[in-house]
Amino acid sequence: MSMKELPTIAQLWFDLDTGAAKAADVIALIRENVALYEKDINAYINLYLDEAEELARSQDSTRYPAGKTPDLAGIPIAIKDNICVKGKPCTCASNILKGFVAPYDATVIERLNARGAILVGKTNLDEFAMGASTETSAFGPVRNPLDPERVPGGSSGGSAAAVRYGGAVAALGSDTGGSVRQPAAFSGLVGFRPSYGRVSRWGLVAFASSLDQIGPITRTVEDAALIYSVIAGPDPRDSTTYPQEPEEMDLTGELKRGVKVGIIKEFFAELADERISEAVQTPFKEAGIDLIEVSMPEVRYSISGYYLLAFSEVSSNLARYDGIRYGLRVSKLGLRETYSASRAQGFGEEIKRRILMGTFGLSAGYIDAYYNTALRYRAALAKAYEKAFSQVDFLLSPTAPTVAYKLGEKIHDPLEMYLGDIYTASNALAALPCISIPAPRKVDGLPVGIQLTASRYQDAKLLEFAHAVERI
Amino acid sequence: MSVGKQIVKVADLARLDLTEKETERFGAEFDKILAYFSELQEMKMEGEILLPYPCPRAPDDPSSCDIDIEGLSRHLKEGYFLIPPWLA
Amino acid sequence: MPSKESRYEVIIGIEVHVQLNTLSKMFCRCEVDVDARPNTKVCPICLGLPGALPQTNDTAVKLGIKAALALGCKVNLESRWARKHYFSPDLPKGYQITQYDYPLATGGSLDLPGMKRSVRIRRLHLEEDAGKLIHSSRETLVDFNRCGVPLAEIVSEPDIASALQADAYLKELRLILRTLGVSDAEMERGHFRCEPNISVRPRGQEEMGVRSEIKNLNSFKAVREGVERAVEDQIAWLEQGKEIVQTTYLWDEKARELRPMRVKETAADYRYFPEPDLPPLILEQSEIDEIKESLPELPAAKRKRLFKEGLSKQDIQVLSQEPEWEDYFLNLLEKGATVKEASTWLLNEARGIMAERREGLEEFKVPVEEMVNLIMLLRSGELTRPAAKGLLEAMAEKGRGAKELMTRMDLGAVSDSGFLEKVARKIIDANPEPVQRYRNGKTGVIGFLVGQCMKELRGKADPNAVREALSTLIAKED
Repeated sequence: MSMKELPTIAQLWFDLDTGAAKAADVIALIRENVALYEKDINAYINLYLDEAEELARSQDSTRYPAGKTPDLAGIPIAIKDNICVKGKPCTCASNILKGFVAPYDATVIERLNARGAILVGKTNLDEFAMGASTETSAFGPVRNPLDPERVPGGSSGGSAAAVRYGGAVAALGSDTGGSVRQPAAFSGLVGFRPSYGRVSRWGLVAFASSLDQIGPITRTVEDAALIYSVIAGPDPRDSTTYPQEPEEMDLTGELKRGVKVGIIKEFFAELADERISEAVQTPFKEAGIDLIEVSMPEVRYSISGYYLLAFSEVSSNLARYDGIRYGLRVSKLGLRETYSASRAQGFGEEIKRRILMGTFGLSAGYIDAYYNTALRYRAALAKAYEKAFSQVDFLLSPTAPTVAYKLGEKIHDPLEMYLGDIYTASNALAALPCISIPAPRKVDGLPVGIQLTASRYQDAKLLEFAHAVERI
Repeated sequence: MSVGKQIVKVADLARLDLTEKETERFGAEFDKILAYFSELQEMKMEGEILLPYPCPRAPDDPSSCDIDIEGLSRHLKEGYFLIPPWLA
Repeated sequence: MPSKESRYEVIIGIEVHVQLNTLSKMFCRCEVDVDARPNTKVCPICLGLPGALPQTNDTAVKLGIKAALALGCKVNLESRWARKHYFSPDLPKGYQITQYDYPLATGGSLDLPGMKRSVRIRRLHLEEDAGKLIHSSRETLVDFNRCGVPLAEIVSEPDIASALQADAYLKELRLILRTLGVSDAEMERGHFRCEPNISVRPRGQEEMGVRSEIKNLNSFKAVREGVERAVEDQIAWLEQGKEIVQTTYLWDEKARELRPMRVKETAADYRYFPEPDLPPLILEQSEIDEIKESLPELPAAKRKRLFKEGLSKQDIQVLSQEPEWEDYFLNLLEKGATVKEASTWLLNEARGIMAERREGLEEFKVPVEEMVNLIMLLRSGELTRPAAKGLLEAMAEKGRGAKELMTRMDLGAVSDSGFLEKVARKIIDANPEPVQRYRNGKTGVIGFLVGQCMKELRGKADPNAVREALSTLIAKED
């Protein structure tokens, strides 16, 4: 037996609309793939195939007037398990949320449901989305379907793996400093991080609120754009959403003449693997696009800036998990003891590390040196990007400095792991839209991600361009 | 500066019980990580980044919510959350 | 040698948490109903569930601006939200959303009535309330109905120099907030929570003394007693040369004592940082101006006006302490009573009747309209003053209208001159001796005769008319 290839959203939508395919049949294919791979890959924390099948059947029996089929009717989608779905557990791959069932839907879920999407299951992730390899999950690591010895990337590793092995047509992940883009890159998929504020965070369990964005992991840019157009837009329940509706997109697949693509000198100077650099740049050169070198020394510090901010927000956002109202409680005689024991047992090592560092970075006497310095850095970085975008339309870089590495290879050296975010942290800090698409050329037989970044709120332009680059 | 020594204080502030091993390990790691992060302090920077739109304000219209705390916790008593005594 | 007290200078600043009068909570749309069954006015936001985000209450912002303007503060066009971290079972998120280095308003002042002292207001900011804990020795229960209720924190500069001034400051502040409709400010219900910080230093010393903070003051009496106690303690320690440690105390209402909180809870590290879930609060000057235009007459201005209109300082004091009374009083004026009439009939007569009946104004059965009717009957001479008093008593008793009762009780003034003459005749005949004295020039005696007539008439006549009738009759017989 081998993997049953699934259609893309665009294909499936067309086939469902014309009656050439049935949604229930796609669920049946997914069921086969799950039976074949899930045990080894561990992409899902909870699967809802029976419910999905029921929903698919009801979609199949609904007759929409021709051309009126909702955008995602009958499309099976996997959701990262840090996004709330009403009536379903939301684990964040953490013991501390043991027994927690979300009593409400995230805005993205409401929007997907309204357009007829079908939930296949909730995918595995690094605990609370903190990690880059999906090895910190309390439900065990996820393996890369392309090579089960290797990690799928993270933190949305379960979402990427599910799409990769045919366990869903598309998936939602969340990206704080690369968690959608890097697993997409490691899995040969498309991962899109919208501009901060484009997609509502209502119902997304917070990791670092000023950085978290939900984004799609799909097989094509077109699919990413489709999902984006459904989930994006202002939401009164998230005060940080950008108040304007997203622009219309025109996915022609044509490269606009005169498009200016820049590369950040400092990024490529520090890249150890020449082959990745080539895999990323070659398609552009072959398409006759000149790459303009821009200097942005600020990016050298982006790991420090990113982690200092993220850690501090982590220490704040995870203070609510105290065993009082929901989730794990380790009962002790006193309250304070109950707190400390519940949190100590509920959180995994990486979470503790980040809470401790973040608490330290905000504490009296240190906040200026750490948190406030990082805030100032963020402003300087955003300004530097702004300047770069006065010269070029898009910035090009690899998504990650390496291809997918082996399980256990980096997990014991936190700093080494953090440095893997070198290309995905700085644009996230600057709130920019960015996308990873698979490079045509592989390295060591493994996919390489091409990352494109646009200026703020130019999400539509970025998707249009990425769609064209994908076709080179 | 060594954070290692501060770790007990910080863990207390964050309400995390640490084993002796963890204390030792995290302490050593933090020194290394913070040493790396300290590069940032060498940069001379100013300013701050803010969201480019103001805080929205929602109308003061109460709405009820169908949330049931029975579905959240089993540590309940007569509709209250039940917790260990405050000063034990 | 000067007294102990006069050798020391007392410096007090006060933080007040005011519950804002909104229908829904600060950052979610749960109904504000603290007395509802426990944990029935809660939602993912105020319970701090994973993935929930705050949504700022527009009315709370407007009420905050209103209070700030009434206190003469500068309302900042940009203010920001911040997180204040501490672990407590009544604080679901592990932090409170508040405002820190960019508060809603700064730099106002409040004059203490009748004291020639002005207390500067440092800042006013918005924040959310915590839930409620119910303690017993074996367990603690938590109710989150109050969690997320909007508060304004009003912080004074240390411009208060005694418990008496603290009392006056708080009473005036409360009155302003109630006048504005910003808060019900009921202290015993926790709408108006005062936390004074007190330090004492030898007069002439430049360095500030060490602060004692007091929480859990649930009445003005508690504030006065608590502050007095803290001052006494500090002076005693200074006298003994003891080192004073900065301490937060809880006022024990029953024992009337200050109980120090544990040191650990005092030495908090709140790790404030900007709330990433909420953009800065940006206001338009036009909105602030509009609110300013709509402010009602504030207590200080009102007092000045009433004093000009002839109300005594004493009466003003009464009204300023009791907004319901003031409300009734102003309504009387609005419906046509003069300051004098309103003062006499409400603050004198009605107050006396209520005291006798052991009633408060809420139980008083005479609505403003009927009180005005009574005053008008009196003014037109249809009712005499003694009769009016009786009538008011009856109204308070029965809750019926002035005119109805006047008729039913036959209290209307007798103006029929034939009848008055008949009564005067009777009194003259029955008192030949005083009448003779009157004729002999002792005209003062007429008062006695008038009194006798009034008695006969059960007070229902205008004494002047009676006097007139008597003197006419006696003169005729000369």
